[in-house]
Amino acid sequence: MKKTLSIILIIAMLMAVLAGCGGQATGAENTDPVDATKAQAEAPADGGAEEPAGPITVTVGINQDFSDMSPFGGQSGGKQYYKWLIYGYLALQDQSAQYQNVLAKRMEYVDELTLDVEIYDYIHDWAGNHITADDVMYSFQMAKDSGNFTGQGPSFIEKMEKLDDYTVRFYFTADALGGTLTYVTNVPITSQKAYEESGDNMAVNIIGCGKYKITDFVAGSTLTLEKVENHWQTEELWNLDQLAANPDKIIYKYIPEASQMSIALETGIIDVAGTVSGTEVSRFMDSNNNAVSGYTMGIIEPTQVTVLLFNCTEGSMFDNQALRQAVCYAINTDGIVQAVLGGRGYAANTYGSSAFPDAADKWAEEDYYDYNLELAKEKMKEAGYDPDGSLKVRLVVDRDSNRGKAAEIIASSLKAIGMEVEINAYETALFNTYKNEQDEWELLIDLKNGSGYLPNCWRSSFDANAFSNGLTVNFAKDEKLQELVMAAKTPATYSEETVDEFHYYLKEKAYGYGLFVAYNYAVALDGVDNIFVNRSNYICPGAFTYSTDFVGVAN
Amino acid sequence: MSRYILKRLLWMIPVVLGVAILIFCIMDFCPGDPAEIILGSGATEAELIAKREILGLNRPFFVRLVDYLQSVFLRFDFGTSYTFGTPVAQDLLSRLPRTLTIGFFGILISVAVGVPLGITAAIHQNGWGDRISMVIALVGVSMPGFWLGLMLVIVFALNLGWFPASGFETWQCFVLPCIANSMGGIATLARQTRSSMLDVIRADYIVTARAKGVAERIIRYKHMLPNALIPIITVVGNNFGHILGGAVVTESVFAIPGIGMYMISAVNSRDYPAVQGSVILLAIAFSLVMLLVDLVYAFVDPRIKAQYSNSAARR
Repeated sequence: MKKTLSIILIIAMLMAVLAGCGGQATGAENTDPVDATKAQAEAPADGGAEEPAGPITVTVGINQDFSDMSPFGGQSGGKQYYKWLIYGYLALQDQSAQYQNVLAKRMEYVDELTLDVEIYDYIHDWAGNHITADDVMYSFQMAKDSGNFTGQGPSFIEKMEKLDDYTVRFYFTADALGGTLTYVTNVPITSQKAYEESGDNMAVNIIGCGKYKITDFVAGSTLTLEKVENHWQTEELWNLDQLAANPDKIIYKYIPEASQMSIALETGIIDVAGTVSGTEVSRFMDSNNNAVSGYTMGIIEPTQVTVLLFNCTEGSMFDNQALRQAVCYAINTDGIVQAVLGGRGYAANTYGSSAFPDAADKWAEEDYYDYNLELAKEKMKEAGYDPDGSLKVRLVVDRDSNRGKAAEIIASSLKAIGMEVEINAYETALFNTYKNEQDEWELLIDLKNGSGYLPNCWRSSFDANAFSNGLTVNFAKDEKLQELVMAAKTPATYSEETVDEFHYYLKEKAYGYGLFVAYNYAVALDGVDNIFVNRSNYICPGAFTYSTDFVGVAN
Repeated sequence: MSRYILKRLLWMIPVVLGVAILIFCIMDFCPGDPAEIILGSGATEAELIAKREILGLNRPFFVRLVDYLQSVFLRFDFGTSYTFGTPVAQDLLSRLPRTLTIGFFGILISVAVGVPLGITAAIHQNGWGDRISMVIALVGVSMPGFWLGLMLVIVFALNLGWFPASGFETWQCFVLPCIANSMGGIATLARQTRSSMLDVIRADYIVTARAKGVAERIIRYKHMLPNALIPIITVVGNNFGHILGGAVVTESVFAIPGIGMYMISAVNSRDYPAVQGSVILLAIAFSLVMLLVDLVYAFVDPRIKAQYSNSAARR
């Protein structure tokens, strides 16, 4: 028995020693990103720093699944990271919100609601299928029929008419903020022949006319894109920043867990972490909020804002302006930004993000229910409630950790004005159901966004015409609010004044209160010199600039 | 024996049918609108209604249920995922090997560690061996899989660099997930083995064997263990089910695209076909494992084998 035990012990010790030796070497290579990047930086020096050592392959971690990859499938999720690269669009917005032609050679208004689009006559997809006006019309019809293109999408197209082999006339049902071009820039153009021959509605067998093609796909794990040889368009005319194709190969890795994303970057599994939350990013930041040695960082300022909504059902507790204002004054949004986001974000100054181009700078200078406990208590009295009482209130929030923490802070803040808050946190699907139920909540924390312009953010909450019950998202009925939101969202009346008017009216009435905007971050290993983020706030690794000594973890 | 296997396989049909009906009802009655999740919060009511129409969600419940059962049981078609736009059966088949790998090796580690630990504890009852083994079992059963997974990543991937933190491309990627997944199984197996061994350790035939001067090692492994195996095998079978279920957590932590990760994403996005397909597949897998467990009983216990033979002979 003793002999057997000794043999087992010796074998175990030997194995441990051997594993330890192997691990040391691997660990030294992989665990110290600073050293790792130094090694990368030094390697090509022998070969000269003028030219890249070879083809560039960049590995990017993303925290959303690739979702439906087909051109006309769901448009949300991880698709936002790569759809621009593989599909061709008629036109896209550049960083200054100007539309730039991509597949379109010419776009010309016939009148306010009629647009002629001529595409280049030499477009072909990766499989060599020639793209014509028929394909453009087919793509728009498919997009419209799919029901997946919401907001300012193809649903506003009344009809299409083919003028010649490469020109389509679009007739729109209504104008849009930013012009009707918005309607024609969201749909990927696909060859009808390729789509029909794919056999799976291009769910996996995708053929596009973008600058990259899919060469490998492992569902739920990795998506590999390679630059298309002999792309149909010249470099001069394919000049939109976000469509640049600097690396030869882009590998997207889906990493859902936030801390695993950071660890993947630290251990050399990925070159770029596409989304790092404000709490995780401290691993890559020094005390001055600069990237630590070995890393490059990009800040993503989203157009999403976290808001607090009051249930304004007629006759309910918060159908009381003074009470709503009391709550707003009792919340210290700057404190939330510090406590929840670690200062990586800012307190909102309207019901929307300041990243919208039409968010007025002056709003930031003005009082937006700045924390004032005395005033909050006065407003409580004015509302007919005892600030030292215990008014029971239900606060509904989803399971997002930032919003959850904010809910806790709000609950404790409201205790100071005599409110007992019961927090009910639900997972996304349940939250989306309960937020539409009038008797499920009194307060609700939600994330709001809109495409391009601030009124698009407002209309999704306060345009009563968009809801079958004729009320706002928080069940308020206010004709003046409706009038103002219509004025702000309608292109003919949209102006600085109408936007201002809505902002001030909403602020006064406090139907909804903007809490904070949280920054996100993209972090890359050294060698990536510049992290490019498009107008939709998604990183574009094709448009990153890479130092000549960039190697990439895949190599 | 073959008749018994056939009978058990046929019994799987009502079991799977029951599971299919149950999961269909649960998903349908569960609050949450797939259309809203697909289209996002910016969608208008009209757009949501149109999407529900396209997905067929506005048809009566029983029509949808019958349609679903027909397509699953008559055409073996689990439908198309709302989220991915791909056939659910294809998604499941591509992900199943990864989940089975984690499950199989998780069980293997559980057995390899848990059973010897339990034997040691039983042999040294109330001694140090027993206490140490049971402390290990207690720690194992108390650690949440999610926490353990992250701890393993921090120690073995981030600090030591021995294994990759995530992915599934090489065999090394599976080491940490399998360990994380096996920990609960080790604990329950160790406790079960100890208990079963203690039941037989003072049996008359063991005393007789000792009196005859049979070597202690032979007594333990040839007389005690086979007689203690039946409850252990039952636990191993149940553990396999738990490990398949636990893969939801492990796969998410280690970014392994298996059935678990697919299912959790499907539940969150109310992707009904994907959830239903995953649950049915797991039900089939679990039924097959239970059948296997019953067959293994026959091999380790001659009395059970004799029962099968006698019933066949009577017929």
